[in-house]
Amino acid sequence: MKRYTITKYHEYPAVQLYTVEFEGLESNETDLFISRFSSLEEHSFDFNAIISWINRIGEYGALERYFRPEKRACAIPISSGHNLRLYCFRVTDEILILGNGGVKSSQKVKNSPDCFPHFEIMNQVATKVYWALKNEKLKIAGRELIGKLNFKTQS
Amino acid sequence: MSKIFEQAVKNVPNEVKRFVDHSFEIVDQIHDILEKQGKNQRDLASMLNKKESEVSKWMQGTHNFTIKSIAKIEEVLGESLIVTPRKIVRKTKFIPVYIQSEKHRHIGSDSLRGGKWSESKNVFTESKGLRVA
Repeated sequence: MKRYTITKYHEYPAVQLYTVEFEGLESNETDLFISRFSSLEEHSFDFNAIISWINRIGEYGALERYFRPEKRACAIPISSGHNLRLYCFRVTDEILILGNGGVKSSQKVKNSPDCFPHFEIMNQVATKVYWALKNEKLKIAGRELIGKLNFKTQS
Repeated sequence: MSKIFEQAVKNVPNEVKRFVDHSFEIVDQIHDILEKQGKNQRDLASMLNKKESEVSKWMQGTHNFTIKSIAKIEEVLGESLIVTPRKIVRKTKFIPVYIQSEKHRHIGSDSLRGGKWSESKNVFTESKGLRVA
């Protein structure tokens, strides 16, 4: 069981980005994703398109129609033929929690070892945040999440 | 705030920014037309004989639309999705506007009356050779 905190990541005019920070790790999940993929030539287009996509969302709003649901979480995808995925959880049009991601190597995410752990973590985060909001342990105030932001993984 | 993220945003090549911006502009345009026509993504999928899940993937802002697919969408929606600057220029009617600058004030407004408007160059040419843009 690992402990993690949802922390503020970057503020945009239309969206507050949050990320997931595991106890004992020096970097948060999204910085780990950026550090890993920013210099890999074979994923250069996918990586830059994902960053550019987040930037655009930040300027105009995290509208539901821009997200592809994968269980409770969402994947930030590039059009077909590109396999890099960054997982996130869209809380509202103004709040987006970013996680980590990887390379999807098969049709089903559970058969993609590079992606699957990040997919699982983001879905756990999404479920915890969803229930914390439902039970009012966590509240939304504009672009802020207020209340319980520390959670534990299931295993 | 993450410096790593800020740096990553700064390092995005302009062509990738343009790709994402164009894709977003197209899907937002489709969305606006559908809304105006009282339709949704399911209707669009049906009009195109596509699965709704496929159209939904297009609408996320990173789809690489082909001109062929844009043409098909325009056809079923009955509206244009992309308008090039050249097309705008062709549709624009130019009206001659005389602007007298400080530099040419000594000539006097009467002297401009002797000139003529050039449709092809979009400039006013005064009879003595003075050009007023």
